Amino acid sequence: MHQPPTEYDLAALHAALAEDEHTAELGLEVQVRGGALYLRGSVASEERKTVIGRLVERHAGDLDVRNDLVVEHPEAPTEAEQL
Amino acid sequence: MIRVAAVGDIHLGVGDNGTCRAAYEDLRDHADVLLLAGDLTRHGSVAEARVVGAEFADLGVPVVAVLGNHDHHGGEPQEVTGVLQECGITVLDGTGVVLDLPGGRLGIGGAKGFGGGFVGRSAANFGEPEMKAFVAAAQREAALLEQGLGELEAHHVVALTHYSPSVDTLAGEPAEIHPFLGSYLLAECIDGTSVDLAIHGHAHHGTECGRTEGGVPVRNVARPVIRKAYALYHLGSREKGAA
Repeated sequence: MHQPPTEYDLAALHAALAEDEHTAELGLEVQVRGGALYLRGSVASEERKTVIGRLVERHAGDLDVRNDLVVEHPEAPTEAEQL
Repeated sequence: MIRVAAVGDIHLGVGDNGTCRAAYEDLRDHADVLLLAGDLTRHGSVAEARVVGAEFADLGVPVVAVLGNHDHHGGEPQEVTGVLQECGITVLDGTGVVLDLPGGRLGIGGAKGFGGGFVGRSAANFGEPEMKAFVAAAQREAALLEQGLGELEAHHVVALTHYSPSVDTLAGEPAEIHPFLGSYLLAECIDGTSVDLAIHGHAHHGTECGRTEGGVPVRNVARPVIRKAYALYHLGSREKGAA
Protein backbone atom coordinates (compact mmCIF):
# COMPACT_ATOMS: atom_id res chain seq x y z
CA MET A 1 0.00 0.00 0.00
CA HIS A 2 1.38 3.37 -0.88
CA GLN A 3 0.99 6.64 0.94
CA PRO A 4 -0.49 9.47 -1.09
CA PRO A 5 1.70 12.59 -1.03
CA THR A 6 0.73 15.20 1.50
CA GLU A 7 0.31 18.82 0.47
CA TYR A 8 3.73 19.39 2.00
CA ASP A 9 5.20 16.89 -0.44
CA LEU A 10 3.55 18.78 -3.30
CA ALA A 11 4.90 22.07 -1.95
CA ALA A 12 8.39 20.55 -1.91
CA LEU A 13 7.89 19.42 -5.50
CA HIS A 14 6.83 22.92 -6.58
CA ALA A 15 9.91 24.34 -4.87
CA ALA A 16 12.13 21.78 -6.60
CA LEU A 17 10.64 22.64 -10.00
CA ALA A 18 11.59 26.28 -9.42
CA GLU A 19 14.93 25.80 -7.71
CA ASP A 20 16.48 22.78 -9.45
CA GLU A 21 18.99 24.10 -11.96
CA HIS A 22 17.76 21.66 -14.60
CA THR A 23 14.17 22.90 -14.45
CA ALA A 24 13.88 26.50 -13.13
CA GLU A 25 10.13 26.33 -13.82
CA LEU A 26 7.81 28.53 -11.76
CA GLY A 27 4.69 28.26 -13.87
CA LEU A 28 3.77 24.56 -13.92
CA GLU A 29 0.92 22.86 -12.10
CA VAL A 30 1.11 19.59 -10.23
CA GLN A 31 -2.08 17.90 -9.05
CA VAL A 32 -3.00 14.54 -7.60
CA ARG A 33 -6.12 13.16 -9.27
CA GLY A 34 -7.43 9.61 -9.15
CA GLY A 35 -4.29 8.31 -7.49
CA ALA A 36 -1.91 9.69 -10.13
CA LEU A 37 0.22 12.79 -10.23
CA TYR A 38 -0.59 15.07 -13.16
CA LEU A 39 1.87 17.60 -14.51
CA ARG A 40 0.34 20.47 -16.49
CA GLY A 41 1.59 23.53 -18.31
CA SER A 42 3.52 24.37 -21.44
CA VAL A 43 7.23 24.09 -22.20
CA ALA A 44 9.47 24.99 -25.12
CA SER A 45 10.63 21.55 -26.27
CA GLU A 46 10.26 17.77 -25.96
CA GLU A 47 13.60 17.74 -24.18
CA ARG A 48 12.31 20.18 -21.55
CA LYS A 49 9.20 18.02 -21.10
CA THR A 50 11.41 14.96 -20.49
CA VAL A 51 13.80 16.71 -18.08
CA ILE A 52 10.94 18.14 -16.02
CA GLY A 53 9.11 14.81 -16.06
CA ARG A 54 12.21 13.11 -14.64
CA LEU A 55 12.41 15.52 -11.74
CA VAL A 56 8.75 14.99 -10.95
CA GLU A 57 9.24 11.18 -11.06
CA ARG A 58 11.92 11.50 -8.38
CA HIS A 59 9.40 13.23 -6.08
CA ALA A 60 6.41 11.07 -6.94
CA GLY A 61 7.06 8.11 -4.64
CA ASP A 62 4.75 5.28 -5.63
CA LEU A 63 2.39 7.45 -7.67
CA ASP A 64 2.16 7.19 -11.43
CA VAL A 65 3.23 10.40 -13.12
CA ARG A 66 1.13 11.59 -16.06
CA ASN A 67 3.21 14.10 -17.95
CA ASP A 68 0.56 16.27 -19.63
CA LEU A 69 2.97 19.11 -20.41
CA VAL A 70 2.27 20.66 -23.79
CA VAL A 71 5.19 21.49 -26.06
CA GLU A 72 4.89 24.96 -27.57
CA HIS A 73 5.34 25.34 -31.31
CA PRO A 74 5.03 29.09 -31.60
CA GLU A 75 4.54 30.38 -35.11
CA ALA A 76 4.27 33.91 -36.43
CA PRO A 77 0.79 35.40 -35.96
CA THR A 78 -1.58 35.71 -38.89
CA GLU A 79 -3.36 38.84 -37.70
CA ALA A 80 -2.77 42.03 -35.72
CA GLU A 81 -4.90 43.76 -33.14
CA GLN A 82 -5.86 47.32 -34.15
CA LEU A 83 -5.34 49.78 -31.30
CA MET B 1 0.36 53.50 -37.98
CA ILE B 2 3.13 51.70 -36.10
CA ARG B 3 3.32 47.92 -36.10
CA VAL B 4 4.50 46.56 -32.74
CA ALA B 5 5.50 42.91 -32.27
CA ALA B 6 5.89 41.73 -28.69
CA VAL B 7 6.65 38.54 -26.76
CA GLY B 8 7.92 37.63 -23.31
CA ASP B 9 8.94 34.56 -21.33
CA ILE B 10 10.83 32.73 -24.02
CA HIS B 11 13.16 31.25 -21.36
CA LEU B 12 16.05 30.22 -23.60
CA GLY B 13 18.73 27.96 -22.16
CA VAL B 14 22.15 26.93 -23.39
CA GLY B 15 21.60 24.58 -26.33
CA ASP B 16 18.42 26.32 -27.46
CA ASN B 17 20.23 28.09 -30.30
CA GLY B 18 18.07 28.32 -33.39
CA THR B 19 14.82 27.29 -31.69
CA CYS B 20 13.19 30.73 -32.07
CA ARG B 21 14.83 32.26 -35.08
CA ALA B 22 12.77 30.72 -37.88
CA ALA B 23 9.53 32.37 -36.74
CA TYR B 24 11.17 35.81 -36.86
CA GLU B 25 12.93 35.64 -40.22
CA ASP B 26 10.20 37.63 -42.00
CA LEU B 27 9.38 39.81 -39.00
CA ARG B 28 10.33 42.97 -40.87
CA ASP B 29 7.45 42.35 -43.30
CA HIS B 30 4.94 42.45 -40.44
CA ALA B 31 6.38 44.71 -37.74
CA ASP B 32 8.40 47.90 -37.28
CA VAL B 33 9.77 46.97 -33.85
CA LEU B 34 10.05 43.90 -31.59
CA LEU B 35 9.54 44.26 -27.85
CA LEU B 36 10.81 41.54 -25.49
CA ALA B 37 8.99 41.57 -22.14
CA GLY B 38 11.59 39.81 -19.97
CA ASP B 39 12.43 36.25 -18.92
CA LEU B 40 14.48 35.86 -22.03
CA THR B 41 16.82 33.37 -20.31
CA ARG B 42 16.18 30.47 -17.97
CA HIS B 43 18.74 31.18 -15.25
CA GLY B 44 20.06 34.63 -16.10
CA SER B 45 23.54 33.51 -17.14
CA VAL B 46 25.83 35.20 -19.64
CA ALA B 47 25.94 32.00 -21.71
CA GLU B 48 22.15 32.04 -22.01
CA ALA B 49 22.17 35.74 -22.86
CA ARG B 50 24.46 34.90 -25.79
CA VAL B 51 21.84 32.43 -27.06
CA VAL B 52 19.15 35.13 -26.79
CA GLY B 53 21.37 37.70 -28.49
CA ALA B 54 22.05 35.40 -31.43
CA GLU B 55 18.34 34.55 -31.84
CA PHE B 56 17.31 38.20 -32.06
CA ALA B 57 20.31 39.82 -33.77
CA ASP B 58 19.96 41.37 -37.24
CA LEU B 59 16.21 40.89 -37.63
CA GLY B 60 15.93 44.08 -39.66
CA VAL B 61 13.83 45.88 -37.01
CA PRO B 62 14.88 47.45 -33.70
CA VAL B 63 14.62 45.08 -30.74
CA VAL B 64 13.87 46.60 -27.32
CA ALA B 65 13.80 44.52 -24.13
CA VAL B 66 13.45 44.57 -20.37
CA LEU B 67 14.83 41.82 -18.15
CA GLY B 68 12.63 39.53 -16.05
CA ASN B 69 13.09 37.70 -12.75
CA HIS B 70 14.72 34.70 -14.48
CA ASP B 71 17.23 37.06 -16.09
CA HIS B 72 18.19 38.18 -12.54
CA HIS B 73 18.49 34.67 -11.08
CA GLY B 74 22.21 34.34 -11.86
CA GLY B 75 22.96 37.55 -10.00
CA GLU B 76 24.59 39.18 -13.02
CA PRO B 77 21.88 41.26 -14.71
CA GLN B 78 24.39 43.88 -15.80
CA GLU B 79 26.49 41.28 -17.61
CA VAL B 80 23.35 39.80 -19.19
CA THR B 81 22.34 43.30 -20.29
CA GLY B 82 25.81 43.90 -21.72
CA VAL B 83 25.68 40.77 -23.86
CA LEU B 84 22.22 41.64 -25.20
CA GLN B 85 23.30 45.20 -25.99
CA GLU B 86 26.37 43.90 -27.85
CA CYS B 87 23.95 41.92 -30.04
CA GLY B 88 22.04 45.10 -30.88
CA ILE B 89 19.19 44.71 -28.39
CA THR B 90 18.28 47.88 -26.46
CA VAL B 91 17.69 46.94 -22.82
CA LEU B 92 15.56 49.36 -20.79
CA ASP B 93 15.85 49.64 -17.02
CA GLY B 94 14.43 52.94 -15.86
CA THR B 95 15.23 54.32 -19.27
CA GLY B 96 13.38 55.17 -22.45
CA VAL B 97 14.10 55.22 -26.15
CA VAL B 98 12.46 56.98 -29.09
CA LEU B 99 12.53 55.15 -32.42
CA ASP B 100 11.99 56.97 -35.70
CA LEU B 101 9.86 54.40 -37.53
CA PRO B 102 8.08 54.60 -40.90
CA GLY B 103 4.75 55.17 -39.13
CA GLY B 104 6.04 57.85 -36.78
CA ARG B 105 8.09 58.20 -33.64
CA LEU B 106 7.56 55.45 -31.08
CA GLY B 107 8.61 56.08 -27.49
CA ILE B 108 9.22 53.09 -25.24
CA GLY B 109 9.78 53.43 -21.49
CA GLY B 110 10.78 50.29 -19.66
CA ALA B 111 11.63 48.68 -16.35
CA LYS B 112 11.41 45.14 -15.01
CA GLY B 113 8.74 46.00 -12.47
CA PHE B 114 8.10 43.86 -9.39
CA GLY B 115 5.37 42.28 -7.28
CA GLY B 116 3.56 43.91 -4.39
CA GLY B 117 -0.03 43.29 -5.38
CA PHE B 118 -3.09 45.21 -6.40
CA VAL B 119 -5.38 47.78 -4.86
CA GLY B 120 -6.83 46.67 -1.53
CA ARG B 121 -4.74 43.50 -1.55
CA SER B 122 -1.22 44.82 -1.65
CA ALA B 123 1.74 44.59 0.67
CA ALA B 124 2.33 47.56 2.97
CA ASN B 125 5.56 49.21 3.99
CA PHE B 126 5.15 48.03 7.56
CA GLY B 127 6.67 45.58 10.00
CA GLU B 128 9.78 43.55 9.51
CA PRO B 129 12.73 44.78 7.42
CA GLU B 130 12.14 41.95 4.93
CA MET B 131 8.59 43.16 4.30
CA LYS B 132 9.73 46.73 3.95
CA ALA B 133 12.43 45.62 1.50
CA PHE B 134 9.81 43.81 -0.60
CA VAL B 135 7.59 46.90 -0.76
CA ALA B 136 10.58 49.18 -1.36
CA ALA B 137 11.56 47.05 -4.37
CA ALA B 138 8.05 47.48 -5.82
CA GLN B 139 8.17 51.22 -5.24
CA ARG B 140 11.66 51.49 -6.73
CA GLU B 141 10.63 49.64 -9.88
CA ALA B 142 7.55 51.85 -10.33
CA ALA B 143 9.78 54.92 -9.98
CA LEU B 144 12.10 53.44 -12.62
CA LEU B 145 9.19 52.95 -15.00
CA GLU B 146 8.05 56.51 -14.41
CA GLN B 147 11.57 57.70 -15.11
CA GLY B 148 11.71 55.67 -18.32
CA LEU B 149 8.40 57.06 -19.53
CA GLY B 150 9.29 60.66 -18.72
CA GLU B 151 9.91 63.18 -21.47
CA LEU B 152 9.48 60.84 -24.45
CA GLU B 153 8.84 63.05 -27.49
CA ALA B 154 6.87 60.62 -29.64
CA HIS B 155 3.62 60.05 -31.52
CA HIS B 156 2.90 56.89 -29.56
CA VAL B 157 4.27 55.62 -26.25
CA VAL B 158 4.53 52.03 -24.99
CA ALA B 159 5.27 51.05 -21.39
CA LEU B 160 7.31 47.82 -21.33
CA THR B 161 7.64 45.75 -18.15
CA HIS B 162 8.03 42.12 -17.14
CA TYR B 163 5.68 42.22 -14.14
CA SER B 164 2.03 43.13 -14.68
CA PRO B 165 0.56 46.56 -14.04
CA SER B 166 -2.98 45.15 -14.11
CA VAL B 167 -4.90 42.42 -12.36
CA ASP B 168 -7.01 41.97 -15.54
CA THR B 169 -4.24 40.18 -17.41
CA LEU B 170 -3.66 37.81 -14.48
CA ALA B 171 -7.07 36.15 -14.96
CA GLY B 172 -6.32 32.43 -14.89
CA GLU B 173 -3.61 32.74 -12.25
CA PRO B 174 -4.49 31.82 -8.65
CA ALA B 175 -5.44 35.02 -6.78
CA GLU B 176 -3.12 33.97 -3.96
CA ILE B 177 -0.04 34.63 -6.10
CA HIS B 178 -1.11 37.97 -7.60
CA PRO B 179 1.21 39.86 -5.21
CA PHE B 180 4.13 38.00 -6.84
CA LEU B 181 2.97 38.77 -10.37
CA GLY B 182 2.64 42.53 -10.45
CA SER B 183 1.88 45.82 -8.80
CA TYR B 184 -0.75 48.51 -9.17
CA LEU B 185 2.07 51.03 -8.68
CA LEU B 186 3.15 50.31 -12.27
CA ALA B 187 -0.35 51.15 -13.56
CA GLU B 188 -0.46 54.29 -11.46
CA CYS B 189 2.61 55.64 -13.21
CA ILE B 190 1.34 54.47 -16.63
CA ASP B 191 -1.91 56.36 -16.01
CA GLY B 192 0.08 59.37 -14.83
CA THR B 193 1.73 59.79 -18.24
CA SER B 194 0.55 59.59 -21.82
CA VAL B 195 0.85 55.89 -22.61
CA ASP B 196 -0.95 54.20 -25.54
CA LEU B 197 -0.16 50.58 -24.70
CA ALA B 198 1.33 48.67 -21.75
CA ILE B 199 3.12 45.40 -22.54
CA HIS B 200 4.17 42.81 -19.94
CA GLY B 201 4.86 39.09 -19.47
CA HIS B 202 5.51 36.92 -16.37
CA ALA B 203 2.00 35.54 -15.84
CA HIS B 204 2.07 32.30 -17.87
CA HIS B 205 -1.48 31.31 -16.94
CA GLY B 206 -2.91 34.79 -17.34
CA THR B 207 -4.90 36.45 -20.10
CA GLU B 208 -3.74 38.62 -23.00
CA CYS B 209 -6.06 41.62 -22.72
CA GLY B 210 -6.79 44.07 -19.93
CA ARG B 211 -6.82 47.76 -19.10
CA THR B 212 -5.48 50.02 -16.41
CA GLU B 213 -7.82 52.01 -14.17
CA GLY B 214 -7.24 54.93 -16.55
CA GLY B 215 -8.24 52.85 -19.61
CA VAL B 216 -4.82 52.19 -21.13
CA PRO B 217 -4.77 48.83 -22.96
CA VAL B 218 -2.58 46.25 -21.17
CA ARG B 219 -1.37 43.18 -23.03
CA ASN B 220 0.20 40.11 -21.41
CA VAL B 221 2.49 38.74 -24.12
CA ALA B 222 3.98 35.84 -22.13
CA ARG B 223 4.48 33.20 -24.81
CA PRO B 224 2.40 30.53 -23.02
CA VAL B 225 -0.47 33.06 -23.05
CA ILE B 226 -0.31 34.26 -26.66
CA ARG B 227 0.71 30.78 -27.97
CA LYS B 228 2.48 32.43 -30.90
CA ALA B 229 6.03 33.55 -31.64
CA TYR B 230 4.86 37.11 -30.97
CA ALA B 231 1.71 39.19 -30.77
CA LEU B 232 1.13 42.04 -33.22
CA TYR B 233 -0.42 45.39 -32.35
CA HIS B 234 -1.08 48.23 -34.79
CA LEU B 235 -0.83 51.53 -32.94
CA GLY B 236 -2.65 54.50 -34.41
CA SER B 237 -4.81 52.46 -36.75
CA ARG B 238 -7.80 53.83 -34.87
CA GLU B 239 -7.55 57.59 -34.92
CA LYS B 240 -7.80 59.24 -31.57
CA GLY B 241 -7.51 62.95 -30.70
CA ALA B 242 -4.68 65.17 -31.86
CA ALA B 243 -1.47 63.18 -32.20
